[in-house]
Amino acid sequence: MQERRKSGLPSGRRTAYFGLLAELTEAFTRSHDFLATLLDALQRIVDEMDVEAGCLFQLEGEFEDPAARLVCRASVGPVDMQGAELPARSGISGRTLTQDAVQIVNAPRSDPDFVAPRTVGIEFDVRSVLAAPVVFHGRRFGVVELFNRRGDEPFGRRDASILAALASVAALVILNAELTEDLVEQARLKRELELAAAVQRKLLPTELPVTAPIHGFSRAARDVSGDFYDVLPLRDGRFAFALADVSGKGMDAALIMVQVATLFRSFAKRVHGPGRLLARIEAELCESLTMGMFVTMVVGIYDPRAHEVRIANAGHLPPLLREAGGGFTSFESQDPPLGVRGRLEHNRYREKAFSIAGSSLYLYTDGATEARHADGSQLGIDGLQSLIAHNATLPAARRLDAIATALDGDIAELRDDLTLLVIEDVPGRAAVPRKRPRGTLLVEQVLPAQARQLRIVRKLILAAANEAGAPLSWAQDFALAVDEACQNIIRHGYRGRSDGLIELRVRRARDGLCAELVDFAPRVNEDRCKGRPAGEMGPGGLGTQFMRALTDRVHWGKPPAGAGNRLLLSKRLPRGDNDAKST
Amino acid sequence: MSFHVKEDVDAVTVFLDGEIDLDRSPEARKLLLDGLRAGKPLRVDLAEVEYMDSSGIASLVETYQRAREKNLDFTLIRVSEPVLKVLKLARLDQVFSIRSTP
Repeated sequence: MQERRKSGLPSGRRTAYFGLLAELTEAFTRSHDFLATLLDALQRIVDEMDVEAGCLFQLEGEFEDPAARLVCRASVGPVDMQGAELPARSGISGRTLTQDAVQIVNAPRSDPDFVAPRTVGIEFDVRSVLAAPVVFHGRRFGVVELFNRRGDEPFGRRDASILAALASVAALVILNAELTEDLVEQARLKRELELAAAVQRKLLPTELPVTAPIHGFSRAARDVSGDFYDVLPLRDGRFAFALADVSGKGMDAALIMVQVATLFRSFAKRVHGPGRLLARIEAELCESLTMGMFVTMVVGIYDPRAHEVRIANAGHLPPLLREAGGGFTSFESQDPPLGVRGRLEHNRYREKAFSIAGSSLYLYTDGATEARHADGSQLGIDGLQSLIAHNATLPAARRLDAIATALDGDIAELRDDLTLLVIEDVPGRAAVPRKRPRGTLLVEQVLPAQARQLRIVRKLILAAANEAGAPLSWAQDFALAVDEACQNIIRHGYRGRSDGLIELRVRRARDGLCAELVDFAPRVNEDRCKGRPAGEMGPGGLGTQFMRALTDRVHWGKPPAGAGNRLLLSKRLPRGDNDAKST
Repeated sequence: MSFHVKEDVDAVTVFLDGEIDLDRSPEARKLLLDGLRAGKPLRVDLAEVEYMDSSGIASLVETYQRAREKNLDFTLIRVSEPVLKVLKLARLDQVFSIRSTP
């Protein structure tokens, strides 16, 4: 221990205390790390009051509760008490809280409440104790205790009043920290909302060519939307499409929407038929849906060669088929929304297949039918049909724009998120079966850089590996490697900030798969990411080690403009391996 | 899925399960370190663990080190296949004491 400064005369000491009080108050209001501040303060109190040791106990639980405990948060002196716990109502500290008064104990051995601190290996003889309650406006936060005045001078009433003053400052610090946590929480929620909006903008499918048979339109009423649509070209020339509406608004709905989008993308290419696809999405989603939330969703497959559509509908508004002659047919849902856990026959939603030759199929959210006329009446399905008929001669993409414009201003007022999707069949169009080129994108996903997203990352990798025909153990190794790479981004790139984004792409390479991770964190120094010999103890660097051991190549590519880092993980597929496929 | 702890006369057993990734390893770490407080040998039952990444391994390593400081036995029991694979990858399968029975 450093050499103690010489203590001054009592009056001089008192002046010093008040100076200390002012300094501490000032330090507390500036600091954001309240534990560090408390520890620093305790050290100075111990120095100034000329004692051997000091502890700050925080009350955990309600004091009236017999299970409440005092936990040592800061400790100064020869014995490190930090983390030590004792029942809140026992000992001198308990008496301090019960009586809400400073305790001066100059002969602890003869005090019936005294409990010697349990110490391991170090002799610490308690000869005097000064304990003050950390209380503010009747709220008990804990106890500050000082042990053994140096030179065995007894504690007096002046010491008691000074420690009481210091303790009340400590109470303010703890209260402040709580308030700050609330503010931090609010700021975090705001950041999450912005993040969800950014993720959503990236999630909607990129503009399809005007000649494509499917077009979509989506607009959020506020920052984030509970609507979602997607179109995925399948390798045999067919298209998978989906449109969904999450109940509720705001953050929860937006996060569920992100999950629905992710699940659709990961399952659409490998789950056979829209009914099973919906069942699969529901099974995964049920874990995340809180009570009372649900999702209505239509999923379908369009086959341009057969001029046929097959759909399944989980409680969503009826898709509308407009035939070439102008007549409409609607397809009412026969099954409950996702998350309602209705009983399904054969473990799938009912499918309906019909010819779409020369016709157009419209999917929409309630933003379209619940838009209101100036007189307050809702547009309804009839109103939507008139709008469609009115704009029928426009090309599909422009038609959707025209309908949306009409819904928000021209003839009605939009109050909700609005999403429209049209599948337009052209008779005689020869759909060209697409041969899968090398470098085909199997996964493209933007994710918040958060630990709880890693489960989704692994699912996407397993799905991509399965699609590439990889054996399960190969897929699991690759998933672990990509998981570790994402962890590095979350922990070392964004350093725990929760508002970062990770772009994940998985491509089929010449002889295997390549996962690309783009982040927007500061550049990493590649030399520091070499890993270390495995088997050495110590947790750091193990993740990098795993990444390298489980893939064939790990390298940093040139990041795109505006991005921070671009990491590429490549893994060769086993040759001619037809082991059990992952499921 | 939830982790849990069982304290017997002669040992404390921590049961981990599910996927132990960056999201869940802090919870596992806390439980493991708390498991040493009783001052008894610590066993970690890994039979129900389906996935473990480096953050999960780090929690085991840290607990192992703390246990050694306190001179307490630290044993992994009923190690599941996915966990064993990762332990081998980290070449920790020879460092930890591993038993197949409870």
